[in-house]
Amino acid sequence: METTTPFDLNRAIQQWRESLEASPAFRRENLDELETHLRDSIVALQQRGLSEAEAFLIAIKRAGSGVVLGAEFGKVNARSIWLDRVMWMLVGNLFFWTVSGLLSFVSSSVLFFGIRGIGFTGGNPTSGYLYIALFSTFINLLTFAGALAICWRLFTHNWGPTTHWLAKNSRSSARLTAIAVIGIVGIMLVYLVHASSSALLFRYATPTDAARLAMGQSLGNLVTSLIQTAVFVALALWLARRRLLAKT
Amino acid sequence: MLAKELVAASTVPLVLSVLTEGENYGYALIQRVRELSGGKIEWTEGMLYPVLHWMEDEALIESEWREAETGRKRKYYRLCKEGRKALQEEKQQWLTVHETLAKLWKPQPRLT
Repeated sequence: METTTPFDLNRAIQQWRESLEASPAFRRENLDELETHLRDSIVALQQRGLSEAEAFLIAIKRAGSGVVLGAEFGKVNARSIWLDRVMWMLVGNLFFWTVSGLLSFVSSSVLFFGIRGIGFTGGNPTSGYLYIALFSTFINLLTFAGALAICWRLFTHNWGPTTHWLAKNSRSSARLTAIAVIGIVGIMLVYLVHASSSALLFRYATPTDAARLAMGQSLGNLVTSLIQTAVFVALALWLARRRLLAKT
Repeated sequence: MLAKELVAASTVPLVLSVLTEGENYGYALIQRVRELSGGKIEWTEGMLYPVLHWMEDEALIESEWREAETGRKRKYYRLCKEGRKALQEEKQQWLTVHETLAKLWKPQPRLT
């Protein structure tokens, strides 16, 4: 049987408000003001004989879409828009290094055990360290690609519910502190594990092996960071181009 | 309907002038201007509120959240000293434009 749920004005207004909240262009006070305006419009439209639902639909249509409103309010709230951008930059940076730190712990372990597997100990010292350089470049790049893919997936994911949850919890300073502490400790743990992985590597190697390992690894890291830089620059340029094209 | 540029130029003097009638809130400002212009000037909230906030930053007007008769909280705007001064200047400029155009458009007596 079909049931029609009665129109709930407060709920509808709350949803409209939440859709605007996602934009950094509005401060909370702006939304309060827009909400009272919307309610005034709805009352006036109802007095002309419209139902609550009809009045609501016309009133939000008149107010303009979130994009249009955001663009107008953004002109006077430029500071909060910039803060929002800086925040995303920091989040992105932190996120990428955390994910790649975690993955590089895995790859360091693979490197260590993998080198034993390909008969690293003994043999020609020069070819030994070139092997390591090659192998570590390969593993580093694999890690880099993996970190990029995970970050990309997470950032294109729908974050609406999460940001809403965060916004709700950040109103209470105790909860915000708890979230911050958990976040900081978590990220520190990842870095700690990452840093300790090289200690582990050298603990089980003889001094000559350790020297070769360090040599090979640093050569591998050099190559990797060159490739990483190239990829980041290319990615930034591609995003900038996309953004410019979307504007015209 | 006014041209976009004219709407942009006239919003500040109109807001200042309506507020000389006494403090008011956004929704009522739009209503008042619509009424006075015979429906020819239709402001939207997306246009008006950013302008009001800019005027507040410039200390032309000040605002206060207060409970209205309906029990709902509203943000009321009122003129500041700077705003009165700005209005005087605006008035001079608009009257200059108006007088010049009026002279040009006045039907000329034909001297034949």
